[in-house]
Amino acid sequence: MSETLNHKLVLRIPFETNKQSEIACNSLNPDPILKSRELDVEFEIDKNTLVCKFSGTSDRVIRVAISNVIDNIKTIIECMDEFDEKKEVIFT
Amino acid sequence: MLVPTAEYSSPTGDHSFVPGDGPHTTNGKTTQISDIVVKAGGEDRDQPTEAKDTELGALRAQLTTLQDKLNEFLTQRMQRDKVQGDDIERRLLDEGYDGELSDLKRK
Repeated sequence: MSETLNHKLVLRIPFETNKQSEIACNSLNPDPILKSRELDVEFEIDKNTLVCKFSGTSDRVIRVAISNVIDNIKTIIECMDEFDEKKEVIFT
Repeated sequence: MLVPTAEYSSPTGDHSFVPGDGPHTTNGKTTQISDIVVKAGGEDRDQPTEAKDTELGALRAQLTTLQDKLNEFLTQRMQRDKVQGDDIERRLLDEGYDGELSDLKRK
């Protein structure tokens, strides 16, 4: 199966802190991958950077997946920017 | 500054992406409603808020630019593949090619 997932894209999003990258990763991870024969998505943390790895069967599959995930990441960033007061009482 | 990046690879090529110098906004070219809908009087009720003057605000704007670049790049590749696919179909159907399909794909 993995032989056909030969279109790959790695997205790296640096955050201000490790905690923010963890929150982003944990927010994205629960989303189930539909059509897992055509697409695989992995979310990892590298210190304060969120790393999203997409593998798909075609450019079309990759395009749909990354645009959707980036939309979600932008919402996560906006939430942090709007509500996180950088104090432990929030987002604990 | 927080700068998002992306790296693409496929059997036919690799490409790296960075947002570039900007200016960057949260109003992406490839994430708006279509011109056809706008011309028909439609209204985008899901427009993003403007980026705040913060590190995270700048990140969101840069990520929107990166998203535009990725979308445009992949859309171009999809269109190119479609043209190639149409050409193979035309040669198979109209020109009566009866050799190996892999030979057609190489040309």
